[in-house]
Amino acid sequence: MVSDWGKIKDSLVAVTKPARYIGDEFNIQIKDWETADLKVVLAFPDLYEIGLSHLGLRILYELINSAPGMLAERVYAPWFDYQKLLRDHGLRLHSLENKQPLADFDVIGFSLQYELSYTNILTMLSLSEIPLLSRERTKDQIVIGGGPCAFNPEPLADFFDLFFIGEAEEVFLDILTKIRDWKKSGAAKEVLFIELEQIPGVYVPAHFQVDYRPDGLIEGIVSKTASAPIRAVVRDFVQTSYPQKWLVPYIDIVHDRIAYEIQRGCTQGCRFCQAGIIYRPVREKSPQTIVPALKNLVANTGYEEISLTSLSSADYSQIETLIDETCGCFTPLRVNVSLSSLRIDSFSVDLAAKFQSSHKSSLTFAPEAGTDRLRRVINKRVGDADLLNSANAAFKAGWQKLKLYFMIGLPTETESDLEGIVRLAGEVVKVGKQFYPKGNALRIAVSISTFVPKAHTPFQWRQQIGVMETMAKQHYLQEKLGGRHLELSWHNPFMTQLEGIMARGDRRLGRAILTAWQNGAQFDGWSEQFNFELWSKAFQETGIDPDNYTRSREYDEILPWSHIQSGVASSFLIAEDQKAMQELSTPDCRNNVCAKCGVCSVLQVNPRIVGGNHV
Amino acid sequence: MFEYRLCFTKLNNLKYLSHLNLMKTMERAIRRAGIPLAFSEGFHPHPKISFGPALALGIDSMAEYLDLELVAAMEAGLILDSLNRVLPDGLRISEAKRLGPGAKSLNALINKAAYRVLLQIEPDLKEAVKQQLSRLFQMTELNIFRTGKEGQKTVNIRPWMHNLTIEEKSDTMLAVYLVGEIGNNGNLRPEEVLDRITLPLKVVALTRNGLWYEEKGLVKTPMDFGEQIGDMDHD
Repeated sequence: MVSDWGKIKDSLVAVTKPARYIGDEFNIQIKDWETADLKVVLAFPDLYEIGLSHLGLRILYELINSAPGMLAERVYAPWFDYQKLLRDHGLRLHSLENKQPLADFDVIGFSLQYELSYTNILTMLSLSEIPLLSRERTKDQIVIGGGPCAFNPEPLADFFDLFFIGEAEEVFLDILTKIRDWKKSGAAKEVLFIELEQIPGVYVPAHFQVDYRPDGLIEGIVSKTASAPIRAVVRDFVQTSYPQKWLVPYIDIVHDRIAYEIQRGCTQGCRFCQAGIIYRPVREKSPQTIVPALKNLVANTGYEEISLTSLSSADYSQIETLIDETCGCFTPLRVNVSLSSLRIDSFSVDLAAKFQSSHKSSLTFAPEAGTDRLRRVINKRVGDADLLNSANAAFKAGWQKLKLYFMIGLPTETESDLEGIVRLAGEVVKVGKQFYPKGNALRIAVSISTFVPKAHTPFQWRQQIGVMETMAKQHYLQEKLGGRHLELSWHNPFMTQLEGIMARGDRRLGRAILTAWQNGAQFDGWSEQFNFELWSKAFQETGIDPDNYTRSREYDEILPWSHIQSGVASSFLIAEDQKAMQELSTPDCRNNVCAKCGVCSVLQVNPRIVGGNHV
Repeated sequence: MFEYRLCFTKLNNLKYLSHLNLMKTMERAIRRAGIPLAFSEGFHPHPKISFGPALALGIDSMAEYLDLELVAAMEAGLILDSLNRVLPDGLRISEAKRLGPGAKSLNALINKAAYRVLLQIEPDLKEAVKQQLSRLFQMTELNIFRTGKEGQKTVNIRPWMHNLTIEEKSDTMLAVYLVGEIGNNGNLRPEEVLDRITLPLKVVALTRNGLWYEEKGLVKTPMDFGEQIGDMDHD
């Protein structure tokens, strides 16, 4: 019998980048389909090149496949041409490993990384002939969503059976084991859900009743099963497994290298940053763990590049030792090493200079705001002078291209903050010209994004600026920022608007997502595909006022995600927001000063700094 | 100088790798195999691997070639074995040889390519397709449009078509064997020949069966230019 895959595998010349759909990567894990007693498909609602670049799914893939009897396969959102190919042949969407339809898996786990990929989830379910709404699914199949967007998954509540909130490594196999036992028992889904709710991280949206007041605000969110979803955390980050059978793709993917997470969590405390909250506390791995693992990964993959990743790499307590050891090991093998997310200081530039011998790439700094004042508001403890000194150090070390990231629309922003961006960029150019007075090699790329308040952050109550205001501010910068060495880029304001609506959205948005998708919205994160009209129409048809989601809120308003605990106290978030208004900084908790965010006591986890400067 | 020439297959799903994808894949496999690859000098060192004529995405191949330079001598058979252990299914080294001094590069050498095309046709159209194919080969000129960097141009591909034979596989299946020019003096693309058939047909498989050097009746495969070292008893 010709399998479904057999019917199309020779017709792929017609689609762009057919290697997206073949699987077959080096280190692919193909377990026996017939004998597996729990089958999980890890689904990423965006293209292969994005999805395979994501670390979280790689961790889960290896974690599940290393469990006896369990099997994890992968699927990514297919591009339009492949969707058509499937439909033309009457086939359903399949996994890359055993090429099995999604409907035949026990668990479908969607990675929720970006609000603008929500419609792709519906495409993938629909191509699998799986009912879109959780309550309409009668099969013993569980659809789970996890990732940063699961910290406010409310807009997706109708489509998912469960959400998993937080870090999966230490509890996910327990969840899967319970699903496997339940499958054998033949009990109703409800029995399973009540049992799973006892595990940290599990949230069953259908078990919560949300009531609204006549004015549209939330009246109350009540659990029907007395459950209280709380973030799962990895308590022993050193011992936690890290992928060793690292998948090596054939086509270029966004992050086409080995990535090694040297620490989780960030102690900088930027008030706009969701990652800074939801990955607390900081936990480092030691160089003694990292270097041997990297040797293995290089031998297992043949990759020519390693990236040491974390939210703020220069903070890692033994960063110099780590870099010396990795460069010592891998430079002779012609494997490049790089560091992600550097701070704005000359220490970071020196670190980057250690392995960027050829300076072909650019160096990125994220001052975020244009003035010292606004940086105090967001708790980015960096002054203009730090940026100029760092730029100076970078030019001196040989870099000719710098990228500067700024945000517009931050709380308390005035015209002088925008002017600050213009002035700072100009001053960086001036510094650069001292080193490169002639020619066009000097390039300062200024990237402007619009601030989106995110759930569980100190700024979760703040207003997001509207499309018109964003455009006016972008226009201001376009007028003033120019010149031979400056490149300005900015985000589509309508896309940012939709991101903000979803980021702080509630369950009522589910109908709008469904309607927009039915009207043709897909790949909304791709600016050439994005069509805001489809969304405006969907909001209108479903009676939703999108401005209701981007407005500012009172501290005592019940937020759509109020019932989901990140471990960080709400009182801490309020205090941080108030300190922002007074332009007061909160110190880095690495330096023995506890900011009392509550995460360590609530989640019963300890920070871990290998350098040992933490009590 | 430690230079080697490898012959390999590119089959099944891996036919969907572009030439660039293939280059990256081979480079990573060579590193996994622990083969001491040489790199160019200078600011941006690149691995010393060079490939034969690019194969279009979607075409299987029984014999592709690459040359590589190492920093130390290695037995050719060992290169073959250690690479095959770490190559994905579909890519398989079939032969490896050390190159003698002054060996010509693959692209300077190779000028002929052979293809096999499997066509699925309605039984009652089979004879007509065969006739059309034979007629193409009898023509003295075969002009097609090609879109290149400089826009559209007309190209006469007939001088590059050296042979065309047809074999009946079944009622509905024809195998067409094409031999054409490849390299600096012209490129015959089998798809362009098939595009001239006006009757409905389906290309079931397209395979490059061989690449070689031919001049004045002298025929040599790229492997004839290497000195064979080690045990060549590999399939």
